[in-house]
Amino acid sequence: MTLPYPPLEGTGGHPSPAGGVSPGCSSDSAGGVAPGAPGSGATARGPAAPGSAGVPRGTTARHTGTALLLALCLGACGTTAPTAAPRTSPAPARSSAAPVSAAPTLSSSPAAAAQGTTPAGVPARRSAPAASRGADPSADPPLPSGLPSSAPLRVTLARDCVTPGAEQHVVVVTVAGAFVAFDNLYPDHRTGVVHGGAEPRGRADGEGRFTAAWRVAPGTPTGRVRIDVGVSARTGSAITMAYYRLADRC
Amino acid sequence: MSNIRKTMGLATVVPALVLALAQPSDAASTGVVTFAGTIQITPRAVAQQVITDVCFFGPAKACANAAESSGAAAGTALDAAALGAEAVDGLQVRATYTETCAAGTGLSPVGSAELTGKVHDAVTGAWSEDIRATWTRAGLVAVISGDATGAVLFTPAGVPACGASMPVAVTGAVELAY
Repeated sequence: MTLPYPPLEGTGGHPSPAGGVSPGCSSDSAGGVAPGAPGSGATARGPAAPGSAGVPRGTTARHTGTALLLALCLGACGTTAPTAAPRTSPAPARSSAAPVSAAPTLSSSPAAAAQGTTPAGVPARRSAPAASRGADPSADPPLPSGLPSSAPLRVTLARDCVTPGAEQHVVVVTVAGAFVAFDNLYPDHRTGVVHGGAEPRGRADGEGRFTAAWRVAPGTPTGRVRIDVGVSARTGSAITMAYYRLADRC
Repeated sequence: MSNIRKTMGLATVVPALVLALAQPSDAASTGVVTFAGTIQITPRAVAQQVITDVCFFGPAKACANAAESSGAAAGTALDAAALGAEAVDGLQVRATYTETCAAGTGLSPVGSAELTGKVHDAVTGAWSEDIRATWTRAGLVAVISGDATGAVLFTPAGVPACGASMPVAVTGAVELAY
């Protein structure tokens, strides 16, 4: 497949300048963090971070107060310069060598992310807070609404920054034996079929794990890369998206 | 210690053998059909269902739905009526899909379809009963659920224009049990 790939990224209908590829991701460490990443810093700054998604359902005043404090904290983290803060943040997920995770769960809540068994999806709750942060063009776009989410799905990338010619790895954790398909959308709108990183017929093992590695073709234009991952089993299916940076230097 | 180990080993192995023998071979196997080909879709500015017939049956073969083959399929399917697996060498699908678009943004990030398909028995030459499934796409991947379960890469081969047919490469695998 050599024709340029059309923009598919949907961020609420506004024109996406490069099909969801951020023009500023070389300086955006947030670009390497998938929406809803379960890591501590990523979770707080992810598009789904603030708001009610992370608020427990407790009805006591104490719980409500705690939830409000948590929400305020997360909200503050989510709205403060995600382009700069992660570089100095001790959060391990921000390192270029740190794994990058995406679980289309209510992973904006650290508690939910820690459980790791929440069914994937619920993108609508993720997109609202992100939309409110819309001033930051380098932030990862929110997940589109309408994603299937009836199966658990967690995607972890080995690196949040990769140089052309280097390897990237993905670990998918889902239902045992599930079918797995993933593809990369590169900054030039071409896919993993062209630049590396496409698998149409993967299967999760008996523990629900699927791993893959690929080398990004030398000369691939740099920028933000989106990886789409879909899983399907008889018990359910899910799709999510994660991001990493492709840069000349990481 | 060695006797204990031996006993524990037998205790582990024997039930496993019993289980393996108790299960029919078809139950242990899965019928997986892989496919690759090109479909044509026409994204619409306003969400509406569009029907298209797809055929993956290798070159110079005709599907029962009269669609021209634009790909190939192979594998096995578990046919409940036949109480066993059947070799598959063709796949035809009627897809009732919704794919939207907007000027400047290309395809909507998500799309969906209802699928009604049949597989071709390589031995008998017969087409199967209808297999019904749903398709949900997001970005470059789609998942299939229902009588068929699987995942697919969805790779548009060009820039979509609203109202214009565009080719899309689809490659994937589905497990069929009907």
